Amino acid sequence: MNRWQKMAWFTLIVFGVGAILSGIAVTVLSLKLGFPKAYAGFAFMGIFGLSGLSPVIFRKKPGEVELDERDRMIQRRASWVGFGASYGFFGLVCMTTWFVIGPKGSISVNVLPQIFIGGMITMFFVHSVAILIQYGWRGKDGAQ
Amino acid sequence: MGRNEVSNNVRRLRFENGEMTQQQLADRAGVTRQTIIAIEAGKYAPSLPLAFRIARAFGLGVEDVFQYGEEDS
Repeated sequence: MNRWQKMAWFTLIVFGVGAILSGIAVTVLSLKLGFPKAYAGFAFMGIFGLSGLSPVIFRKKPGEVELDERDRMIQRRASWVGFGASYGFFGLVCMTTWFVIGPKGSISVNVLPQIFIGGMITMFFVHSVAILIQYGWRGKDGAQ
Repeated sequence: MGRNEVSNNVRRLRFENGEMTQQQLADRAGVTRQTIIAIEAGKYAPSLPLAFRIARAFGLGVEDVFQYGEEDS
């Protein structure tokens, strides 16, 4: 498994843990305290920030080629797919909100940072999945 | 990155050149071992500069290592 696969897996695991803990926290808090106090459970999403440490945790080995032409191609494709997914997320949220609330409805501006964060999460998640699909999900790479 | 029209003799040439390992070829060509694996499996077509570097590692011309279209490897 190369460095990029490890970083992608780390991102997926961190996102998964953050999402699960947030879901549990919001659920428990909603039962105990009700909304809007239950939204405090989303603070666990701060765990997503740990994915930014992956370049430090998975350092390049001395003398190792860090990024060759195939790696750059894979990264470029994954970035395009990630950005495309985040754009789709924004479109889906905007259009769904418009259809549900209607043209004469209104929403709180507090929703806007949540939509932005949701788009970022979508982008990084899809980027990591695209990386693993192109490289392979596991380290077994048929080396001979 | 599916199958492409460029075939190659890289694996055979590695073994004919002192049983060169994939890592050794990767070091000579300036790429990762995974890229060499992908090239040998026909899953990745190298760029022209990389194809030249791989051919040079074997002391051969590019067309001796890589074939395009219906030519057999």
